[in-house]
Amino acid sequence: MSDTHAAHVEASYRSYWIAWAILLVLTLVMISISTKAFLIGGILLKSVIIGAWFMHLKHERAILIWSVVAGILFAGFLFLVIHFDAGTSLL
Amino acid sequence: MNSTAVTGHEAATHESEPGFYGTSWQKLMMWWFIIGDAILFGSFLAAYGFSRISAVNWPDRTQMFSLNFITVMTFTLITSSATMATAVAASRRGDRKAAFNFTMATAVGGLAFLGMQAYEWYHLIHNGARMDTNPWGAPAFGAYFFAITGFHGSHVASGVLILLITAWNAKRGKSGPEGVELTGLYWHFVDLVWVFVFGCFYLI
Amino acid sequence: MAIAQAVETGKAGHQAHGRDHGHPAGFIRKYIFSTDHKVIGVQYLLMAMLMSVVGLGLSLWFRVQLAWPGKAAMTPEQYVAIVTMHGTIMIFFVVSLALSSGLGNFSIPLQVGARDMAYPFLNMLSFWIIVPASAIMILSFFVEGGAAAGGWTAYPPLSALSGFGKVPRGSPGSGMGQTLWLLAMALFIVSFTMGGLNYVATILNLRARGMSLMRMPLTVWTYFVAALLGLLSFPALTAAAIMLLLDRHLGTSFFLPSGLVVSGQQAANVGGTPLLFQHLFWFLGHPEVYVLVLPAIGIAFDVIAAFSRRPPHGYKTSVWALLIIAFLGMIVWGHHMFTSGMNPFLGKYFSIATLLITAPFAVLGVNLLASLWRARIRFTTSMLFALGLISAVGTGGIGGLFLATATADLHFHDTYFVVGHFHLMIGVVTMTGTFAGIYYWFPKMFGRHMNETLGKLHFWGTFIGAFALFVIQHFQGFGGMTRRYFEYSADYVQPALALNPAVTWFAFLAVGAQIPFFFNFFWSMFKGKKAEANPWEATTLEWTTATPVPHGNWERLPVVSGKPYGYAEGANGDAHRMQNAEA
Ligand code: HEM
Ligand SMILES: [Cu+2]
Repeated sequence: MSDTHAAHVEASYRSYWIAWAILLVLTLVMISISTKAFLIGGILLKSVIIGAWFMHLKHERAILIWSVVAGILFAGFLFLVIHFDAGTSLL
Repeated sequence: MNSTAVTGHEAATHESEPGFYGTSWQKLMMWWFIIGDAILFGSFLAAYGFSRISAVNWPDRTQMFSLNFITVMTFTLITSSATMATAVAASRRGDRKAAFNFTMATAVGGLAFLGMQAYEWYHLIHNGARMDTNPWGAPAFGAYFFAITGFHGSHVASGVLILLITAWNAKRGKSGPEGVELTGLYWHFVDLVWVFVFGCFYLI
Repeated sequence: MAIAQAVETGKAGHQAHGRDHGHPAGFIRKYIFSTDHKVIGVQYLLMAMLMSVVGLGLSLWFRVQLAWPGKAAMTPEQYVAIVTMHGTIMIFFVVSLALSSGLGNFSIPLQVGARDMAYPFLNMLSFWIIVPASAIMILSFFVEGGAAAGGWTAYPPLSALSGFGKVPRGSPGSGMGQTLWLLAMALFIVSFTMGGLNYVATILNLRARGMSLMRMPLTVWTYFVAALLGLLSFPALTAAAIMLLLDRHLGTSFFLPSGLVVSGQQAANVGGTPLLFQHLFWFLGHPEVYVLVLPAIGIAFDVIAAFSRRPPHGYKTSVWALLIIAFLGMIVWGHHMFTSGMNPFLGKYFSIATLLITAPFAVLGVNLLASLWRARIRFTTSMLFALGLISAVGTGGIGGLFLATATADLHFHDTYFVVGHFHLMIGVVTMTGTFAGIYYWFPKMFGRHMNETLGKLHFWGTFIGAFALFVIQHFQGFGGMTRRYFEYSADYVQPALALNPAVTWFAFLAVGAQIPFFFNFFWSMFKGKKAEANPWEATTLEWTTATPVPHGNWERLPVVSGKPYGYAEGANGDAHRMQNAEA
């Protein structure tokens, strides 16, 4: 990959620090709100930014992206299922 | 007898089918490690969510934490991710010195984060929080808080160690762009986990 | 076997991680701390054989207690500990090691046309982590209180009540024994995860030129799917194990409820629930059974193809069935929890999802059977075991249908019906698959054949003994015989109990049949009939290299030109075409 992308590397320097700025702003926004839906949206947005830019998922094949997404979905499914049981068997 | 071990890496570049993911096997392994580790943290957080929904008197986060302090911690980690990404780019460009400097900067960020986390723990413990008790409400909070932030902290600590080794190797030219990139992937992942931990414990 | 051979390497590969470069390997590097996947595969097999002596011995011990109560010297507490250790050792230290790690290590690089695993050093580490894990597991018998007694599923509260600090003590085995159990399992998980990473990387990145995914032998496909399932599911158990350790040693209440009274002593725990552990455990537990069973089925496909001289029926449908099983396998874990107090809505969902999984499973079974259609079968020992596997898959699967129906499971749960079901699956299917693989690849491993007469003795003893034993257990379960009981007193269960001596005799037969196998294995290693490079006239890549296989596997890596199963491709219907044959 690396040889053909010299110009791309220059551009990526800038994109990292843009991503950094967006993440900081997002964090500041998130600490000042308390609506759950927005907070969860903010968390997901931040992780997409980290994944896509910092971890270069943007430049990887779809199959790698989907493998990562699948793993996260399975973990999400675990929570989805067990949350039905929350509070049912406690004293 | 001239026995020479043939490495998978060599085989991969010359004699094999192109990698399915379009990556080296090293990167593929790192990614699958990260997926597994993500599910590990996912399981922890799922259990945390479960217990939090179940609990009768979940403590009020604003009473326990200073949100400003945690925000500074978060800034530190995000910034260290940005320096890491820069280190990877520098190493790709063949700029060893910049790669070394930015990797070291990342390690410093990680150490700063750990220091602040230690202070945060000290603060809570000082106020009476333990693994099995919690003066502000449900004891489960203490258990999950220390377990999950502790587990994340141990990832940061091992990450710092890996960063130092990578920086040292990059300086001597022993660790090429791919090595720095793999370290970077791990570091960004640790940062990503913090986004969730931060959100789940301090914001929601 | 590991004759070091000069191999042209080119100049790449220097930044690769610590590997042996250019030194002729001494005995220790060649056979003990070896990074060669073939040696490591055999090491795993030997380790599994060693552990099987312990695991099977334990089972005979408690079978004696069940058949003739009081005749086996043990207390009820010891009984539960022995059952627990039998289950744990057999699942994780025998089947996993022999089938997943042992045969997987040996066959994957050879079948995909690679020189070794992607990361041989990590591979060696995986094996050497298993050694202390096994040792700790065995040593846990000898600590205060004896070995763990919470079942192989380690359900709290029993497994959490350690007696350390202010945590009350649940049973003798809940003390140090359970802690060591968790430690050994943690090491096992680390090793298995590293192994899984190696499998995935090797299969996806090191296939020989021309070996597209849809040209991989089914054995490789099943190992691939199994490795992915392991990587996706084991983390949940890791999390559960860490939380359990914290409950045991630091007084947290992840899994311990409020108001728990143990031996008249009120526990201090507040707010946890064992239900959470069950969810986390079975999130791993169900995929884990597929991790074990799928490679056995894959090996059966390869073996049946070679000895029926036909390509397996429906290669593509089998691959798709595997992928669907993998997906569904991740989301059906709750069928182990129908009686746990889980939300009834979830019970319904899990029941339906589990019943769905029988469809792709039936596809695999039918494809196995259809592969035999009109074939001129060569009845080698390896083939016999593969045929036995088909029968066990069918019978065990039918038991699964009963259990997956939540209403029926209310009766069957925690009875010998479940015990019979899962032993047919993770006992008989996996072991017949493993033996089919061992008899099949032995000539490649050691350059000699195993003795066929002893082999057939081994097969018939194993098959008759195991099949009878586990099928009868289904009926005992119908009759109300619950599992993990030291003694029974209720009247209604007496008819079921009357079958116990027969079951125990069949157990002796099945275990006794392993004696000729052990003898055969070691005797044939040195004294068996010499084998050529391709004694079975099979067509996959491992049969294209010399025997014994040189270090690096091939002098020049093969180039794949066609499907893995080139059987009956020729005028007289008996010719075969190697996978790397010139087009
Ligand atoms: C046809 C597909 C299958 C279905 C529908 C099925 C269904 C079930 C159900 C519902 C249970 C829970 C019973 C209970 O505890 O009350 C169960 C237990 C079990 N099954 Fe299956 N099963 C199938 C195939 C398999 C396979 C292929 C394996 C192994 C490779 C397997 C291994 C086990 C094990 C180990 C247990 C019991 C674990 C324990 O409680 O200790 N099953 N099965
Ligand atoms: Cu299951």
